Amino acid sequence: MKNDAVSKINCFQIELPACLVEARRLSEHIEKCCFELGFDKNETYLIELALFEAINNSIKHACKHNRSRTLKFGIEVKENQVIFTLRDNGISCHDLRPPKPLPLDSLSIEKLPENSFGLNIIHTVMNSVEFTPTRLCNTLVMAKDLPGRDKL
Amino acid sequence: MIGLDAKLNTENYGEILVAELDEDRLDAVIAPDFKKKIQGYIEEGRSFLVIDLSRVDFIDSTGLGSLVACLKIIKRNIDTGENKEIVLCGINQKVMPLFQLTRMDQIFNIRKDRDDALKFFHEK
Repeated sequence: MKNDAVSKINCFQIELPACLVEARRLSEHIEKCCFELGFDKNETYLIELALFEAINNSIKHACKHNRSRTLKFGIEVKENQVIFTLRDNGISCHDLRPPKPLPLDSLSIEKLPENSFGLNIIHTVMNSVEFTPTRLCNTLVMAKDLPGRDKL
Repeated sequence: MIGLDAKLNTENYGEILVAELDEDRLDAVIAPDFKKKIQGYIEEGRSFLVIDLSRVDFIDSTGLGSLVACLKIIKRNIDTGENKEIVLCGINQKVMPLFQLTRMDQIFNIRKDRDDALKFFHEK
């Protein structure tokens, strides 16, 4: 991992309106950061995917696609982990525990799920996920171990 | 504005319609329009569809959900004896983990590329 990349990314923070098209631009930036932190192509895609799911959930469920609401997204490198923090000033959400995986083998095509994959993806990709909803702000903190670094 | 239009290039191979998504992302931004367009082809009476994703290098869960929705639409009323099928092809190795993680690789008929997808229909 490049040390200069860590210092550059160490304090990255951005504020954006609750808009999916804007979120796309952030998603592209996340991809670049992950490469710089040394994640390979597959891990980078999965991290980008998990974060886009989190941002999408926030825009859709907490902010209800209202552009006047805002999201604050930050990336911070701490010891052997990269910490992603997402805050929104939308409606206080329910908890973000992933739903039980469905027994696909026994499901007919008509009953296949079309949504709710997002939370499972976030919890599978990240090493830890912590959600704190309050009346004024929802905060989601997701941590991912950095590649090729021994635990300190 | 919530979403954007999904650009699709279509080509007919006899009874088979190939719809190539001319976007680098199939995500929440374009998934609703993508689903609407594929649904339109099915409602026009297309029974054999190939969805070519070779230009796509990012798919999120909403994009995946739109593919599931298309599969459900084409398989609806399958008990009428009609033979209908959607085949996905050209899936970038980078996005394959999404299908594996959600186990949708076990649900979809996935072929390597367009030729392979067409071969599947011709051999049916």
